[in-house]
Amino acid sequence: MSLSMFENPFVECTSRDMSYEEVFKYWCDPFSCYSLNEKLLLNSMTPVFIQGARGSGKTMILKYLSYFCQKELYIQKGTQNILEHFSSTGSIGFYFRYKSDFGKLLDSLNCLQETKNGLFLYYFQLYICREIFTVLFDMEKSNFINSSLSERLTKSFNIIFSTDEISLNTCINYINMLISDLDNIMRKIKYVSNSEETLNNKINSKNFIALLNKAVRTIIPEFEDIKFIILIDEYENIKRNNQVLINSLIKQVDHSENITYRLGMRPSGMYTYYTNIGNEFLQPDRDYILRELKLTDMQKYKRFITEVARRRLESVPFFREKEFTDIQSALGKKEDWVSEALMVVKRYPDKHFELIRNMYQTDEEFLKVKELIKYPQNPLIEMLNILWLKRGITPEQTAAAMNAFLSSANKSHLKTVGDLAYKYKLDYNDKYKYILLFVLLGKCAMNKLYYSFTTFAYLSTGIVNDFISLCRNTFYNLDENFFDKLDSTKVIPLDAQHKGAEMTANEQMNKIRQCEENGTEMYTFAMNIGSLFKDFHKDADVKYPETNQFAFENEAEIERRELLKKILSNMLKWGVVIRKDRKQGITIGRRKGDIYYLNRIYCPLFNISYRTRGGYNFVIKTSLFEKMLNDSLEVSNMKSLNKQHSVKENIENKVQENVPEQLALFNGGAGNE
Amino acid sequence: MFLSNWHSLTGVQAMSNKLYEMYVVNELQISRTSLDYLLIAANSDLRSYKCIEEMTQNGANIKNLVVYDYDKFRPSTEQIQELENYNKYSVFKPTKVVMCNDEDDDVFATRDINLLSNDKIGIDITGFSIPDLFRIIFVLKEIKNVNNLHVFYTEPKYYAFKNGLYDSYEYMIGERDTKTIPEYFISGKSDKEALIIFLGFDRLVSKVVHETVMPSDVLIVNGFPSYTPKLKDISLLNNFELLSTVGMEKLYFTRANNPFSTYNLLCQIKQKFSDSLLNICVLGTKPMALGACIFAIENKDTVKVTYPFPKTYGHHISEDSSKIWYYNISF
Repeated sequence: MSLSMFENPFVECTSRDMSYEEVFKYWCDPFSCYSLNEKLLLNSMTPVFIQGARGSGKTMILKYLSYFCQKELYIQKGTQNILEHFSSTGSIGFYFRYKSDFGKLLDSLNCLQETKNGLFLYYFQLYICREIFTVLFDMEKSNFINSSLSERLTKSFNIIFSTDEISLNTCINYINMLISDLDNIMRKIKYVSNSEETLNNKINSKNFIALLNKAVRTIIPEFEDIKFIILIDEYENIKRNNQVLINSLIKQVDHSENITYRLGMRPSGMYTYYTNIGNEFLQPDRDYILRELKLTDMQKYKRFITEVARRRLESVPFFREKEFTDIQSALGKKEDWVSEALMVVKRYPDKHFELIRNMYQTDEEFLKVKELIKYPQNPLIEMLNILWLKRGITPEQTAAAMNAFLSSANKSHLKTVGDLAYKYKLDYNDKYKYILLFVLLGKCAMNKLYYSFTTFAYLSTGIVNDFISLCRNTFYNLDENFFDKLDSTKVIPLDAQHKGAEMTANEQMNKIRQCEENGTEMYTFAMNIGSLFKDFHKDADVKYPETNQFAFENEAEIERRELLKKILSNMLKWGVVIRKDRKQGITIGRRKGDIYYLNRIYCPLFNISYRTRGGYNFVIKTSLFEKMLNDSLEVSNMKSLNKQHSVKENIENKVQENVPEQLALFNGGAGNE
Repeated sequence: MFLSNWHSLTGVQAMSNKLYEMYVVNELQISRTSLDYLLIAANSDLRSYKCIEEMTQNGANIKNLVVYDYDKFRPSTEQIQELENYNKYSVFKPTKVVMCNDEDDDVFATRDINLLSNDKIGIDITGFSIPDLFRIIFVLKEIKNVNNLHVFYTEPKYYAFKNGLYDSYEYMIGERDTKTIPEYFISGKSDKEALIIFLGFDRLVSKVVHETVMPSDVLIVNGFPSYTPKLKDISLLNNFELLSTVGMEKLYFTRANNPFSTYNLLCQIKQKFSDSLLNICVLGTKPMALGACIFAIENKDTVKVTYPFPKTYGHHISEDSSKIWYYNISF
């Protein structure tokens, strides 16, 4: 074995800890995967919010748009005049990450909101100005601008800041000194008697960024029309009162100043639309464009994460030499449900037939039926036969449909064989195969294994970092035996993959409870709803196959109740639950509304399907939602508490009637490829 | 017994040209202790009172005993034994009891104590929470201009793991608000930030801190040698999530009971990460926190201190007591 256990290629190296050079090195174009328009991001004067869950790639994109990455890109392309290239793109980006601790500190100050606002804006101006001069200094070091331009820029800086610096570098030092001066006051302010006055004396409300923008455009000829794009990462860390201030800047964006914004934020990260300009508030599509980093095309996402993984695997010499760089081959392309079912039956032979034992008076009768519906090569076929019997289809009809299905070489022409055989094909291939594996596992008290590239792609729900986490934990479960005879065709053992998936799920779930706001409630809800879904997956009657979505009986009521609204918003922000884009019927035969699902990364904890499907959703009454946030509940308790809600009694029939539509609603998965 | 900072002396000499004094106190030394002020925090872990108990029994001269009674540590009336332990401080007849019901009650009270900068000030750090320790020492040094501190610390004999399971340690309970201790806030001179986490036993906390801070680099420090041999492994196991995420090459070691060892390690880290803001988060021992605190105070321009403030603290985290350490701190 020549691989050190420490050389896990998926050990964290995310965009937040990457230098700009590393961002460029590891850059895998996410624009097509997320349906983003690079030109819009680089050129639009209208500010753009990029919304995505943690680890979805917001930081990577914002850093990519910044001067330092674009510079690397142009150099790589062999561009001679970098400034002209920026000029032709029309913008230059300045990256700034808003750290949560600064917002909290500001919030905790014992002074007037007006003073806090002044302080926030002054700090903001200084942070951005420092970044602008860091860029200008880099341009000087890279010989993009000559000494005469540097001198003129320094002179302008001196005029704007009323100082007498001698170089671009000392200008940065000067800004740092101003920031440090403010920091010193912030540290001791609570011990100072005249804190309000002390702070107000320090605040300078000049618009330094606008003044610098004007100076740069005047002094550097290529930048005459250049836009400054302020790239603000982690907008959700900005407290509500301060978001109003940033919103005001966004509202005021126009061509006169040539300054615009790109903002990265989590779902529900915008706490207010208000500005401090009269009664005006931000209006989407007019004042800003919202772009979401959401999974829209699984194939594109798979290509994207394959490339991300390839770069990581190639960065470790051992894997590079062994040509073990294709994650799809390493994990195996998709799950093999039949093999998994065979493993279960090997361990618990005939246990699944117990599901129908009570339907027959005598052993003889039972054994006769069992003989008819037996198909040891594939226990999932046997499970479907069991389901058909439970639904009142005779053993003979079931056996005939099975045999017709199995003997038909071209299953797409099954309809001509007879209706039951066609239904059998639909039931097996498109509707019940996967859920029957869960029922079989449930009957034998075994856990579903989560493995394969497709499964990991689905579990990560479009969040690249989650996919990396699944791979990282999988690689930690590999031992010397695996690496000893490694070659490009070797597949990582299923149990190592499954353990990796479980470790990630556990870690993510346990982290929820530590979230600073509503951690306990979010954790309790996730555990409750997960247990409920698990129960649906064990139902031998398969009334509601693969139920893993929910909706609220009365969304308006949740919206009205501050605490519930806040917790739901936090669950979306932290990615505990995900709200589907499209409004749909909240369950079969009901009004349209929002549909939610539990983050798929938790599926291995509950043994539930990672696929989303149409049909029945669990509709939660507000009172039950409240309980699910506060108490650990038994499934039976949750069901009975929710019983009075208005789910139509004929749902079960409708599930049956809606089969063709439901098939179309399946959202991929290993078995459907 | 007298221990100067023997194991990494060069670091001290190189960075500050100072020698530090630490030793395990014996009865004779205790009896000779003479302080103008001794600050202690009430706690239901009885080791928090061991030092003052020994001082009282051996006739030490403590002119003013100030007890910080924190609401967050006070057990409920149902926790009869814990509450009884907690209230034992009254036995030592404190000159002043600071009731800390709101966040800044402790630091404002410290500011308002009528002590002089050249008074002999002692502080027993055993019962204080780590962030409170940082804040109180800040006030003593930066507001009261105290330049010398006599610090005492009583080691636990065992830590309390629920059901005997090493991964069931719970000092921090419920949600955590990871933020900078205001007195140690700094913006930094660039976007480079190295997070230095001193490992504790609470599961996943270090990982959450890392994800909240989102530094450009991270260094993990484990207490080694630890109070007892197995503790160094328990802290590694309970922080597996962070270690596996960032890689083992980020792991450093420092003695669990030696603040000067921590100080020296931080000096070395500062040299290595000279262009980064150092963000220190101590989840480990109080002596580690003390060392980090001295370092942070001496390096205000480059160091900030972060802590994951929990909703509630566990009341019973250790069993019995072991050595009492004395550290002399000169700023």
